[in-house]
Amino acid sequence: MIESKNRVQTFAAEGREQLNAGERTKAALFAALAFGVVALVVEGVYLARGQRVAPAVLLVALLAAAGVALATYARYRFTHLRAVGHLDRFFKLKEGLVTADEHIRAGRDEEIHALQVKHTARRLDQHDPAAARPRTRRRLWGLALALIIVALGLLLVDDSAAVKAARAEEEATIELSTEVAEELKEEYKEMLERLDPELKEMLEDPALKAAIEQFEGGGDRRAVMRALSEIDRELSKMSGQLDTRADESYLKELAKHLEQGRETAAMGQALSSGDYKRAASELENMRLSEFASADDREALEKLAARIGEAEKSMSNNESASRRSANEMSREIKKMSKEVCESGQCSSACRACVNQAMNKSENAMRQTQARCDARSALDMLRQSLRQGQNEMSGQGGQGQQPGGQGWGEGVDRSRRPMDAESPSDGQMEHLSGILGEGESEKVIEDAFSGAGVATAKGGDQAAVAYERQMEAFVRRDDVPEEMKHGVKTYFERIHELEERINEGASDERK
Amino acid sequence: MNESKSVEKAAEQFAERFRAIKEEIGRFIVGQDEIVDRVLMAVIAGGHVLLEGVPGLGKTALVHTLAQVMELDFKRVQFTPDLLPADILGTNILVDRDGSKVFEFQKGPVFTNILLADEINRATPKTQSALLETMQEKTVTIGGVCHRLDRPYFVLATQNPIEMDGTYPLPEAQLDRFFFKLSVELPNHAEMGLVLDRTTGVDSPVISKVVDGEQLLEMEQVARRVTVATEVRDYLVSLVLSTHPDNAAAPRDVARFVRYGASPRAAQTLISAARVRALTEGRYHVAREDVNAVAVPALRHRVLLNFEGEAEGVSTADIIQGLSG
Repeated sequence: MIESKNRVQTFAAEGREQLNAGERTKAALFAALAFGVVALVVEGVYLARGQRVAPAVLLVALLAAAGVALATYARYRFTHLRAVGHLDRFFKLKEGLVTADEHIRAGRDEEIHALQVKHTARRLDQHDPAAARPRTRRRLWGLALALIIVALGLLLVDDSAAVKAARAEEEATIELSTEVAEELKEEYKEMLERLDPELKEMLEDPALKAAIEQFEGGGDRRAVMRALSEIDRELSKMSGQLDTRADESYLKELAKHLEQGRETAAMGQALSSGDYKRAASELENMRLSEFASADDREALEKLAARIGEAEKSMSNNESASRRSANEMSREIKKMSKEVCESGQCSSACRACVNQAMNKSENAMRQTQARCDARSALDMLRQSLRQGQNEMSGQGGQGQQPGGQGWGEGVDRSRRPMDAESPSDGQMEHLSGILGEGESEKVIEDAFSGAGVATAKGGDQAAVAYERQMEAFVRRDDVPEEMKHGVKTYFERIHELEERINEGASDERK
Repeated sequence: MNESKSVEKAAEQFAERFRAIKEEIGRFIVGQDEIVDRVLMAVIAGGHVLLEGVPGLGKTALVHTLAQVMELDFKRVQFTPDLLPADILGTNILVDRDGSKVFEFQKGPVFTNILLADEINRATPKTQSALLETMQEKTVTIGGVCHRLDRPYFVLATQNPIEMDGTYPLPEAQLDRFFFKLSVELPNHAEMGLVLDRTTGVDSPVISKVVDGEQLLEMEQVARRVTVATEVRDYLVSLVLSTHPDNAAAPRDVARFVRYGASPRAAQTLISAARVRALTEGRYHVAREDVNAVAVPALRHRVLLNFEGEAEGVSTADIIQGLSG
């Protein structure tokens, strides 16, 4: 009995081991297939983008394969009972093994149970549990192997030309943008160091400073260009705040007039050459001292006269220089009047003149300072623009059709003052004039056509026309008012025709 | 191990006797191997058999032969419409004993080992029902006295499926008492030739007795010891339950054509018959194929078709075969 039991148990255990080995093989097969399929899908995504497949991506496929293997084995693994049932059916034991196993597990040891186990053990001797192992699915293994080979082979596929170019561009962008960022920061720092404390204070804009300091190199060319544009915008804003064009325009005009007079020629030349600081010094020299002579006053009067001339030749100019010059001119004229009336210039009058002159000097000095600051900013902008140009020109991109390159545009704020602009930037509505201009529409007279008039079929058409009318008039579902209207309409047409015919016959007569 | 050998010996004897009975019956009955097998299975399992077939197919001859093979008391009752229960069960009659008149029970033909109820569907339901107690409890109760029948006792009934005039179809309760319902088919050409040779010549085959009642009861006990695995038992239960149209596992045909499915008694029949078959196949355990092999004769008379099933001409045997795969 024990021997038979052992035989049955051994057979069941060996058979189960064989079956589970088969299931492990199946799980490995499914895992290999899953690996191949997932790897191909993931690699397909990379290759569709033209990129070289990163070997690390195969980890995804590996994880998927491991998951499939575990799930498959957990799902199809043979338990003892399932294995016994399967072996019984596989070896056609007619539930002999199932029954014997149940007897053994339940500890049944009656005669009939022992006999059944013995007979089953005897039958099991004819079978080898290894035969129960599922056959290797060669085709599927072949397929899995092919998938894996293809998946591994795809690892060797290099980046496409476009991707290579894009990558090279990105690297170049990083390098260039880093260089530009460093240069810009250095330039800004040097500019601030170079400037006077007054100008430095004027140019130390927190927004500009932040924009420059935050600008870092990167691989995204667009982002870099956007950051550069941001800095450019800040610089432009600051430059706009330091606008001295009106002052310079006035001072140039004034210079033309001052250069004509001997007393004011030095100042005029200084203004003409844009050396406002020197011009201010010249003006300072013309201040009235306590012991000012008549010549000194005369020089001032001539200055006022030149200012007056310049005032006449200028139209719209709202500059501070003009205001201060006019004020100075007014004060000088007041002084002249006082001298004419009283023969001498009072200290109050002198003080007023000097104060007005001082204001004018200050305006000139401020203009000079603003010009210097603008010039420093322009240098910085130039440096920035150089960086922008380098960034724009990098990567082999240019003006290409289809939106692949940059476009051309106009920044109106950078136009020179005297440049003509087609509009002020606002939308313009252009309307045509009705009746004017050429038209393709031609109105052709009926008789001028190439067709030939004929009365053929006219009688039949008239009869059909009449029938339709009568049929309509006889219809029950049409209201009487409408019938009357239709009838009247046709009758009037007849009357009209008759009248035309009568007129034609009278003409003939 | 000695005890094991005794069971083994009993099982071998079982197989030997079964084969001997079959051989002996085969000396007179030509063909019908399956019918003979199944009748023997039912007899060994202690069940009753309803043989159905047109006249002249050897139903009665088979039962006669079986009675001859077994050393058992055999009686035959020809069922007719005027047959009364007392005619088969027996009755109390007034007899003169020692000068006094007393009632004495006069045993009917059911007091035997093998009862051939020929053309059972010709008797009235009242008479048919008189057999119920004998078939189930193997007792006869008359006048308040219960009389036990001899063992073994089994009824082998026949009925003709085509002559329906003047017949009384067996009620479901009666049908359920039959272990098997077997349909006797027409023999083929060669078998019919042999039938003619054996029955119309001068020499008739001599049938000798092979087993007696005790041995038959022993065979029944041996069969009862055959083991049934839980898996096989569950399969058998599922099979029986799936004959019920309101069961969730019932297939579409059962749900559509069956009015009422097999009873638990059918499951008992199936397992008993499957055990006998397993032994005849040389096994000490019941296999699914044993259950499938006896499913049709055990269930065909217990699965009742509904009107749609009858109208469509559906066969219960087909439905059961569909269930047992």
